[in-house]
Amino acid sequence: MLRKLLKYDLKSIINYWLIGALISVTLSVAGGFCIKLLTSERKMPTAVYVICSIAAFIAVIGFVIFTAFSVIIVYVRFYKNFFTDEGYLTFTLPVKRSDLINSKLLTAMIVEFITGVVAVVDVFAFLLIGMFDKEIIDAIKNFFAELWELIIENFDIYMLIYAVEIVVFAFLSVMTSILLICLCITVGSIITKKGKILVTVILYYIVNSAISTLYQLVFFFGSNNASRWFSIITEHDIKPVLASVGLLVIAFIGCVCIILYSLQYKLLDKKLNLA
Amino acid sequence: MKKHTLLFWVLVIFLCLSVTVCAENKIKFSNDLSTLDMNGVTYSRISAKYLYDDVYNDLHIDKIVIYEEYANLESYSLYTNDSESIIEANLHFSDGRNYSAKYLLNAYLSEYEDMLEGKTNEYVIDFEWPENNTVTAAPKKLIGTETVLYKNNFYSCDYFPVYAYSSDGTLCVAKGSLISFNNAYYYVDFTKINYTSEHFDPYAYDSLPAYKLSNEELIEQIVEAESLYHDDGIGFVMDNEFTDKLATLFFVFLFGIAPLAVAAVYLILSLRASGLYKKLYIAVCACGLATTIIFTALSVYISINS
Repeated sequence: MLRKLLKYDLKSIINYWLIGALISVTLSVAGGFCIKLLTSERKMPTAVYVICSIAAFIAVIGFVIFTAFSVIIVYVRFYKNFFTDEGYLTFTLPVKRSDLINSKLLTAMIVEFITGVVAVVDVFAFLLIGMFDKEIIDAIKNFFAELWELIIENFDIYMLIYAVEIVVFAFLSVMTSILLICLCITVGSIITKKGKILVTVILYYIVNSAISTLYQLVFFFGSNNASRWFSIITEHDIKPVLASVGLLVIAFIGCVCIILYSLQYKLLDKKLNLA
Repeated sequence: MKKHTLLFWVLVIFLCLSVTVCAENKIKFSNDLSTLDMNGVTYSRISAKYLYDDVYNDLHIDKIVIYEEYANLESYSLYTNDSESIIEANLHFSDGRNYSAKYLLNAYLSEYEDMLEGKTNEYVIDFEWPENNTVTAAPKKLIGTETVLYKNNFYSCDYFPVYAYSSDGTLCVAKGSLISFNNAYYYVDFTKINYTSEHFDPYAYDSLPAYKLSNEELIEQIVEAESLYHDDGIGFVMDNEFTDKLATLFFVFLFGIAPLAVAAVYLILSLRASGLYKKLYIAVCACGLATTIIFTALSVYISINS
């Protein structure tokens, strides 16, 4: 059933998303050419300069709007599907609550991932066309070649562990941030009947500020003591210790992620009142 | 007659000015490049060991003369300090050879040698913050009980450079480093450890021969200067001991106590739950416990090694 839910969730979003992505890539390519014209030594009428500058500006704005829009449509779908009149229909479907949540989470993950890919394409198109220079291309090629060489030279089991840890950490981080927004929407929609969106925004702002403060404290205390702690670690132990630190962070964020998921599940399962 | 006199003086002034304007700023190197002559003033090549210099001013030279073998000079760059007592010369020859050296004004040569040999009346410990926060001490006062510092002892230590200055303050030679650790002070003599690089880093050594300071009067001065160094006006950020304790408490709570408490709560909840709830609660419990266990293991490792 999850597959069907996922299919419908993606179907409802992907058309808007595709239009947005197409416009964003087109604008980036056009913006890149405009930058190229602006930086060329050819003499052009002032009007061309003005038009090119405006076009480049629109390309950047388009990129920002596209990424914001891609994130927002997922949560709009989540809100509409669960907490408006559509919710009556959604919750009468013969599917488990967990499948409903999983479908929304997977949709959000997929949309965020493909948006990230398009964002990278946008940036590369804009910069490579706009500032096309053989030296820059060679420098990028050299950088990746050297990086690859470095990886090959120093490749060992710990390198593999770090890579896996980074992927798991990235996955859990994205999942936690999605769950946090979904949970704020859920709480906002449950505790109030009017002004649900406003309450959701305020809730998210408060929670996000608290998390930012916590991050800053971790960073502050961590950076203050990192050199001392690392000076204690012997060269022989540095790799396993680093791998353990990675595991610690993953276990911690995994704990937070599952707590958020169980809260989300409980609220939708037990506290939902669409009347 | 008066008219002629005036004309004469005008001519003399004009001639003097012309000569001044046309005078060439010239550098002439000796045959073996060991000395250079700039406008009649002689400089000698030095090893520049331990020398702290501010040689960053471009030296504008109209003419550079080098002996015959090096006639094929392709390019050069010359820098000097504010007082023009040191000249740094970088010469590039068409055959690809590069030559770089520092030259010291001959008038300072003997004083520089004395400074290198430690024949100076006083050393200056520079705390670098706030500005001009220094302690002056006779070299012998820095030599206390001989000891060896080991790498594991260096964590959270502070270290400050010790200089010797020439009588007019033009030259500055690095003599050592003052290490502040565990409420005691140690002097590391650069000559003794054969250290010659620019930026001393005690963490680069596994063991470091040092002298433990014992002169009470000097220690009092250092304590006062160090308190100024640590005083950020708020008494929080730069207070190492306080921040250390706070950081330890914070991390113990965040990665040790909080996950353990969460694990305990969710363990109790899981006993009463069923279905997906039970699975989720057990997963939270497992992650919380894993966080605490890994954190405890890392803490134990750090405690054992420190």
